[in-house]
Amino acid sequence: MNEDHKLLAYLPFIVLAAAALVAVYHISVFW
Amino acid sequence: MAALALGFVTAYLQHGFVPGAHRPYPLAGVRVPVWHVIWMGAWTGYTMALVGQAAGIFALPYTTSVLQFSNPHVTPSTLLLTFLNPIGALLGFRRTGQWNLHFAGWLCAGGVLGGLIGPFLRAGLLADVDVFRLLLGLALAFVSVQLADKALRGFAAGDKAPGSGVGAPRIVTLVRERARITIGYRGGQWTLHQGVLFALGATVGVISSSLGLGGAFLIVPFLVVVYKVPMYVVPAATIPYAVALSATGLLTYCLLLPLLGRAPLAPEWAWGFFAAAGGIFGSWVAAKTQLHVPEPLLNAMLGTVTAALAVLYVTNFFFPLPFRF
Repeated sequence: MNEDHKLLAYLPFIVLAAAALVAVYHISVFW
Repeated sequence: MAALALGFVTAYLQHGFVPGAHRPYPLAGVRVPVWHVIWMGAWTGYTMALVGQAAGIFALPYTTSVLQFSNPHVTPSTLLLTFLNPIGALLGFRRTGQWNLHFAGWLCAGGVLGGLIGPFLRAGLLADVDVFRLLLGLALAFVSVQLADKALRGFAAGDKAPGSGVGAPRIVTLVRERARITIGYRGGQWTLHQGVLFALGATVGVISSSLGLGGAFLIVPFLVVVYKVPMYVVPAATIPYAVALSATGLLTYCLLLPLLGRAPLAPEWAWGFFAAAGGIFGSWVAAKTQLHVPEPLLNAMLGTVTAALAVLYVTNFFFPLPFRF
């Protein structure tokens, strides 16, 4: 598995972590 | 890009301005930046496509809980997302031969009937936000079980995936006799009853169009468990189904409800288009990168999140929780 593929394997977890951070930001600003 | 442009155009046409962080969406009653609606479509479309689910099942709870858009207008707005998202996949599957209208036709006809009935349920019984969230919680619980099951089995498409073999396999109709149809794909064959498909399509259609989902979360396990249709054949039915059901549901919310004396439930058109712009991009990225993703781990993780959400929604119906979500 080359470096690009390793990054792609991590991508869903990075995306989920980013989604959680954005959700927390939204709750703190807009609720 | 077209969906994004349509988002801005419909915002001006529907409200005369583009709602966002500073001006609330008039029907939704919430302030959400445009980039956040696009991001919501993108991340839900991406992650759910990776585990073979449609974006709606994650986008809907995120919209109602995090973005606080939980009045009845959320359902037609999400239906716009479930209508637009699968269109790219529909065209792709048609090209690769994963397409059979004899197989999908009666299911879609049932979906059309369900899409005519479900919105009346939403405007009546499910207008109450707690009842709506209870039903959504039950749907999420069902999806979490599917994801957990897939995580435990470690389902992998691999060389069974459509289009990865030599030549171009197609889903063909082998026999059509009275109400029965036999389809074949890569040497396998399955006989299905059109009446059962129609009834399934109608029942799932009522539930899905009243919630704002595409219905695949119920159709897929039924076809796999009852008829043993393999996962790589199922999209030939569920993708046209989601498109037909969502289109009928949208028309019913906008036109049929007022024609029959009910108040129309218009979608936030811009919201739906912005989310779909993200969703189409997200599912495109997922399709390009799917082979490199550790699917069982992702199934387990998303299954856990879905189960936790389901527990929250269902618990809150019986014992109101001391926090807002």
